Amino acid sequence: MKKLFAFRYVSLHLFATLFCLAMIFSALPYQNETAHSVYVSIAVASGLLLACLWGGGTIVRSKGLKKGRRADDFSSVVAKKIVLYYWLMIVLFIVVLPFYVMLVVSLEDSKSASIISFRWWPGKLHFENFITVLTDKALRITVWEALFNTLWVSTWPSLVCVFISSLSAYSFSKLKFKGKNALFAVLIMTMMVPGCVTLSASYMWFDRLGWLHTFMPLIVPSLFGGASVVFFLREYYSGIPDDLLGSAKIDGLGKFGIFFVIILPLSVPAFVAQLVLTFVSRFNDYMGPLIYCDRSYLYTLTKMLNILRSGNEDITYIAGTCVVSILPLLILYACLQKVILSGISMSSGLKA
Amino acid sequence: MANIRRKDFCDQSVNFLIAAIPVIGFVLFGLIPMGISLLVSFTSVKQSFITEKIVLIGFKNYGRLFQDRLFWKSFGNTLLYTLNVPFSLGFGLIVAYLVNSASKGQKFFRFVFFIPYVCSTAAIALSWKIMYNYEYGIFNAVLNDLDLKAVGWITNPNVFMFSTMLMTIWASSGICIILYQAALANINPSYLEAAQIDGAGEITVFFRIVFPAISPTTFYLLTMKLIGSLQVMAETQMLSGDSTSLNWADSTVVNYLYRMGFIDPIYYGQSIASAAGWILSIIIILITWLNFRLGKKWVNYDMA
Repeated sequence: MKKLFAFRYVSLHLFATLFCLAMIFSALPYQNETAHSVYVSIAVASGLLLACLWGGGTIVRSKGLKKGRRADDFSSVVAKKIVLYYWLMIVLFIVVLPFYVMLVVSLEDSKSASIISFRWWPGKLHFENFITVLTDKALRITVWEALFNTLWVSTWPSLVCVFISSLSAYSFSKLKFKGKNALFAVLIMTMMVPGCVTLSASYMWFDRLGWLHTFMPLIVPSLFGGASVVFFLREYYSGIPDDLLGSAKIDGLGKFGIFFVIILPLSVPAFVAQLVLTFVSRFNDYMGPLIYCDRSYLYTLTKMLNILRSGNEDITYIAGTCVVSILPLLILYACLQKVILSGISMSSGLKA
Repeated sequence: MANIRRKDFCDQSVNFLIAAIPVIGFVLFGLIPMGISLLVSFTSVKQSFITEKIVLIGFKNYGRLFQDRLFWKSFGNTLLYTLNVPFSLGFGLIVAYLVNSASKGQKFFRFVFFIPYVCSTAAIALSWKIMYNYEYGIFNAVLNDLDLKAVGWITNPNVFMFSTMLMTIWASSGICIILYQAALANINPSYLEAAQIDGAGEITVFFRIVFPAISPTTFYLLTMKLIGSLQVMAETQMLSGDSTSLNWADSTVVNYLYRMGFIDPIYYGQSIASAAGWILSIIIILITWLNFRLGKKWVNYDMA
């Protein structure tokens, strides 16, 4: 009886998937009547089956089995596991699919890919697309130069950004000065300003400063630190006990000494997490390069992809460029996943 | 005594300056552009306020925007796109629940499900563009195998926004899953045990314990996603590739602003773009304020 219930549990989920798929397919416009009627009948049949299984099982259970103990026996635990991993596999498939498609298309033959429809596996692997991507100068700039540009506007500016922010956060949380609360309120307000309002005005302002078509608009604003980083690090620093700083002061450390000797080493995880997150967001910045860097020698990777959006180029070339452009961050993420994941959870105010 | 005071004052001003660096940056690159954009939105500036003569024309730009059919269309598209937020959160919560219940491979699933977050929107959109392609995209290939009609995922104006939303739900799943999973793992198990002893069903447990316990995360994600979705541009622009056949079905408010200010500045110009930016940000601020007001009713910070 218990095995039967476990079986019912698994098949309920399987039929639910079938039912959903069949419903979607029968709702879509069809090429011929037979296919449509097949989907409709599958939907009806699986729907009926679903109702019978669910309703019947519930009736039997309410008569026979006791409610409290059903989770304990072996077969129901196995059934729960099967269902859980079944759904996880489906989600895994959905998450991986675009990356898989990107990879497969980039390995297709560049001549035939745009003629034939999608194949789950290319007949023959064509790695020469990647050679084309890596050496091609169709956009008057190679991927390498674009990668270098991207790294130039994202590595050291984000390092400076997080460093300045941590200094500011240190001052906000541990040092005394007048007007602290007012200044902090202003800082919080800066996070509220939507970016869209300054979009065209920033363009004109940078034009006035003579910074258009240089990297200055991407680099200089981040050299002043970021409000959200300050906000986060301030929370983190307030967890460092004041007694520790007091004893360091007695031992003769100045306020910068305390910062470098005590605060920074104690907050390495938070610092690195914020650094990586800032770096990722600067690396993937879309609007900045799009508006301010409209010269081919200034193209970053996102700007390059932006140029490819019209879809006039060869599709294998586009897919190859996508693969190449996401690889650096994928490698970084694979190496630093713990830092990134805990940093993300921390910055939303959760304990990781 | 005076010396000590002066030293103290110097000390405090150094502290103040250190703390104020981000604020200075904001003044330089946030407040000044904001002032410029407010000023420009009342003038007839087309491309730049430096080379052109500044003529104040009052609220004419705003009036013109309210009469512009394309602005309203872009506005409607933006609101439609914003409807992805509940679906993103729901999908993230369900998957996070699955990941949290998995005893084996939890780290692996967390790792893989977060990958979309580290990829740039541009790359994600291009790969979805390949999948959505009418002739050789995977979706239409599958539909063709199933004897169904091909759908113009990103070429049909009526379907375009929904395709974009689908992509966004996929792309934002990473952050939702990770945050929800962390929140679910943080729920105090004694609450759940107590509920089980009292004989509460799964649905009751969800609405009475799980949902209040993860409500700060929901609120954070909701705020972030709402602000981000109202300012969407990268996704729609990359997917549509500025195709004219879409007849502005791909245009969002920021996209409208971009086209007015940067693509077609002769007819419309930066002044209209600034006005549109101000209208949008006032709406965003209103929605955020409303969100915070309503948040006080359902967000529970005492259960961590």
